Amino acid sequence: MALLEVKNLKTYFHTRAGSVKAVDNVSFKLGKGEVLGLAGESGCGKTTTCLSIMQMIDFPGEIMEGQIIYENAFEVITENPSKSFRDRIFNRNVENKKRTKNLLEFSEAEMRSIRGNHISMVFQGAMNALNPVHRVGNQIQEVLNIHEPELEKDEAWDKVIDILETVGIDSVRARDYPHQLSGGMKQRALIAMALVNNPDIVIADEPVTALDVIVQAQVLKATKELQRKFDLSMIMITHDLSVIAEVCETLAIMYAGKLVEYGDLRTLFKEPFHPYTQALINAFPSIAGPKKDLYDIGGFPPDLRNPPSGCRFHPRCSKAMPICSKKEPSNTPIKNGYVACWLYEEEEKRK
Amino acid sequence: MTSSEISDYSSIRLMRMAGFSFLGLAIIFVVLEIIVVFFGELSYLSIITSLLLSLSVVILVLSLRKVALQTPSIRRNVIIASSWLIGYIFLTIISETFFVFLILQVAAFVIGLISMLVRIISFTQLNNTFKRLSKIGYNLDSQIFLLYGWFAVLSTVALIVSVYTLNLTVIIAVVITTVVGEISLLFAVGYKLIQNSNAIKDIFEGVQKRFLDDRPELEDHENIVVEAVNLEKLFPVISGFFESIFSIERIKNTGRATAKYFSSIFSKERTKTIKELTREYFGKVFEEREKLFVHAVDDVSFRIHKRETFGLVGESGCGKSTTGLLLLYLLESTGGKIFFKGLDSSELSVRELKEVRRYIQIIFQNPYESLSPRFSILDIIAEPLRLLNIETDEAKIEEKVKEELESVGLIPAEDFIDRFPHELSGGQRQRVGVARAFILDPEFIVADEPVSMLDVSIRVGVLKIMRQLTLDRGTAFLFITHDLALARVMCDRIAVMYLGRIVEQGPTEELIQKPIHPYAKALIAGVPKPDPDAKRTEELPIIGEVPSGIDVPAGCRFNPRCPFAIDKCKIYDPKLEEVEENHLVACLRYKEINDM
Repeated sequence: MALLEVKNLKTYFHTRAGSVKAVDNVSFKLGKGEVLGLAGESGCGKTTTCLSIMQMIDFPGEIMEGQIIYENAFEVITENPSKSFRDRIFNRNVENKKRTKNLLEFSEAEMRSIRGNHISMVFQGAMNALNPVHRVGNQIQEVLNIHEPELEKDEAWDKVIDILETVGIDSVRARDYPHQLSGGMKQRALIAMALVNNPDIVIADEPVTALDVIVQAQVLKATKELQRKFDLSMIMITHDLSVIAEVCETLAIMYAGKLVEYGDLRTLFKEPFHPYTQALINAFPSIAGPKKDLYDIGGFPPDLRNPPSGCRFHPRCSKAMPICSKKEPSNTPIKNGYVACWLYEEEEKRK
Repeated sequence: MTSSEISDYSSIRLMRMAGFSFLGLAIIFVVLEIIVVFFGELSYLSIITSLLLSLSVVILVLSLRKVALQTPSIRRNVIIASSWLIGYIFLTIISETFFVFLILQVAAFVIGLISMLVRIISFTQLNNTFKRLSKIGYNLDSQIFLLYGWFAVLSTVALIVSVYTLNLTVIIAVVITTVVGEISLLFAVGYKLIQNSNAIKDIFEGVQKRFLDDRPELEDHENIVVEAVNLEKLFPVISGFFESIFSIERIKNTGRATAKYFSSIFSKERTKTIKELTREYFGKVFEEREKLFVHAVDDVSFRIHKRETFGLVGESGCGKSTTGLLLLYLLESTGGKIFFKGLDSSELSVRELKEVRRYIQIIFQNPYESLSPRFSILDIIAEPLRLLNIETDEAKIEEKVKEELESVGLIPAEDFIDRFPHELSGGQRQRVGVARAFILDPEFIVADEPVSMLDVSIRVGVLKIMRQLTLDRGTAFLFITHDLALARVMCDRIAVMYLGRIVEQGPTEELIQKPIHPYAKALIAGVPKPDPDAKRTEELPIIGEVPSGIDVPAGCRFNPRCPFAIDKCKIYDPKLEEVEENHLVACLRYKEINDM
C-alpha cells in the first residue's frame, strides 16, 4: 500500500502571456520507507510537483486537477473545519463533501497541521533557508511549538538537542546563529528541522546542490542513515543524477512538466528506456574508469507556455519519429514502472 | 613615409644627439678641469658644467618623449629626476656665488654638500627611469648613470677635502683620478646612448606588439602565456584586529599570562632567564597578529601554456577564485609575481595594464547576473569592441558579433542579436558570456565555475564550446571548478588547491587515475558517481570541513583532516616535489602512503 499517491496532478501558473503548464499530468506512488528521486532540468516542474503536494502553490499558480492521496490523512481531520482565506480563494468546499484521503480537499487549517508534522520539507539553498537573526536551536524549536504546543519549553529544547545530535551537529552549536555554521552544518540543521516532528514523508528539494563534494558526501551519508533509522519515506528532488544514484530506490525523470520515465533505480540506470534518460545519464561526466566522450543533448528546454506538440522532448530527441510531433505518447509499462515514449508503445502494440 | 616613421627617426636622432652631447660634455669637462687646476677658478666653471650636464639630460628626455613619456610611471620618474636636477643646478649656482665672499664660505660649503646630495638623488631617479625604460624595451644600461652620479659626488667631495688639506700632491692625485674617472664615465654614457639609439625602434612597433610577439629573451619558453611565481594574497581581517585588542578572552589570557609570568620570575627555583620567560608567556599575545589575515592564496606557482587548459580544483574557500582574480589583475597580490607573456604585472603602469587586460578575459559563474538586463545581446557582446575602440564601424561590429554568436552555437545569430538576456535560457546566456569573452581574441581566459549554475544536461554543450574555441584560437584557459569530473572533461593539467596552497599538480588523466596526495584522493572519492552500485559515501576517508584561512594549521595545512597525519606533519610544511614528470605533490609521507 502506497503511503502517498499522486494521480494526474496538474499545476499551472497563469501569466499574462498564457498558462505555464509547470506540472502536467504527473502520477507516481511513494511507499513506506521508500526513497524516490525526482530528476530533471531546472524549470521542468520538480519543485512545483512537491510544492503542490504540500499545497504551497501561491498565486498565480493553481492546482488544476488531480489527486494527492495521503494514507494517514484522517489523523488530522478536525470536527469543524473553519474556512480560511486560502480556502476561499481556491474555493475548497470542505464541509459539503464526503471526506476522502485526498489532500487537495483538505482545509488550510488541516493542511497546516500536516505540513511540517506529517509531510515536511528540506528547502533548497541551505545558505538562505535559515533565518539569520534567530538562533538555529530556536528555529528548530519553533516547529515543535507550532505542532506540539502542549510540550514544555525544556522538553522541547531537549528534543532540539537530540535531533541536532542525530544529524551530527554538536549540541553546543544549537545556540549559534546561522552565520556561525558552515554550509554543511546549515544543511544538517535544515534536515534536523524537517525531522524534529517525526514526519512520515520528507521532501528534500536539492538538499546538497550548493555544497562542496566532500561535504555533499557527508550530508548524503547522514541523510541515508537517518532515512534508515526512522524508516522515512523521502522524495529527493535534484538535477544531479549521482545524488539520486546514491540515496534513492526509485527514479522518476521529469521533462517539461511531464513524468517521462518512472521505475526502479537500478534497472533504469543500467538500462534507461526513454531517450531523455539515456541522454541525461550519458551527459554526466564521470571520474571513474576511462575518459569517455560526453554526449550533448543539444537544444534548450522548451518554453512551457507553448510546449511542443506531441511528445515534449521530440525537438531535442535523437530518435524522434514522425508520430512524436503529432501525438502525445501514453505511459507504457516497463519493469516496475512506466515510460512515456513512442518507441516502446510501438513495441507494445507489435506484441 | 608615414608620420610615425618620421617621429621614429627624429627620436633616434635625438637619442644620438644626447649621446654625442654626453661625449661633448666629457671633452668640455677636460677643458674645465684644466682651467680649474691651472687658474684656480673653481666658481662659475662648475656652474657651466652642471648646466651643460643638465642640457644633455634634457636632450635625452626629449628623445624619450614620443613613447616612453606616454607611460605614466616613466613620466613621473622623469619629472622627479628633472626637478631634482634643477634643484642641483640652483644649489650649485648659490654655493659657487657664495664662495666668492669670504664670510659666506662656510655656508657655501654646506650648500655645496647639499647640492651634491641632491645630485645623487636626481641621478638615482634617472637610474630608476632607465630601469623602467629597459622594462618596456629600451635596451639601456641604467647602472652607468648611477655609477656616474656617485663617482661625480665622491670626486667632488675628495676635491674639496684635498683643497682644504693644502697638500699639493694630494690635490693633484685627486684631480687626476677625478678627471680620468669622470671623463671615462661620461664617454661610457655617451657611447651607450649612441649604441642603443636603435633600440627605440621597438617602441614604435606599439605596446600591443610587445605582448603578442615573442620577445627575444623569452625564446626558450615562448609558449608560456601566464606564469605565477610564489603568488600570495592575504586579506586583512578588520574585525579580528579589534577583537585581538579588546576581546575579553584576550584580556583574560593576558592577565593569566602576567600572573604566571610574575609568579615564575619571583619563584625561588627559577631555571629560565627573564627573556625566555617573557617570550613564553607573552609570545602568544604577539603571535595572534599573524592570524589577522586570511591566507587566501599562499605561495602558489604555476605556468599556463598556449592552447592549454589549466584546472584549479578545490573546495570552496581554498583560494581558487582569488587566484583567478589575481591573474586578471583585478586584485593586487600581496606577494609574488605574475608574468603575462613575460611581462611582470607589478612593473606595468595603469595605462599598460589597460592594454594588457585586452588580452585577458573572464567568463563569470552566474549567467543570470553577469549580463546586463538592459543591454541587447548585440550590445553585450559588442561592448568590449566599443570600449576599446577596436572597431568603430557598426556594420562591422554586427558582423563580428554574429560570427562570434555562431561560433558559440547560437544559430541563427540574427534571431539572438536583438534579444535581451531575460529571453534566453541559462545555457544560452552562458554562451553569450563565452562569446563576449572570446570576441577580442584574448590570449588568456579565466573561467570561474562557468557551468556550476547550469543543469547537467546543458553543461556539456557549454563545456564543449569552450574547449573547442580554446583549441581553435590557441587561448590559454584557466578553468576554476570544485568538480573534478568537469575538470577532467576540460583540462589538460589540473592543480588541486587546499587552503591557499597547491597540494598536487599534474596532467589530468594521471592525477585522476593515480592521485598521490591524500586530499586529492579524497576529492576524487568524493565526486558523485552516476552509478547506484558505486558506494562513495562508505569509503570517504576524510572528516570535517575546511578550516578557516585565518587560523591556518601549523605544519602541513591538511594535517587536521588527514587520515595519515603523524607528528612530523604538524611541524614541517611540505613543499611541492616532482614525483614524476610534471607531476608535483606537497606531502611529507606520499611514498609511505602510496606503498600502503
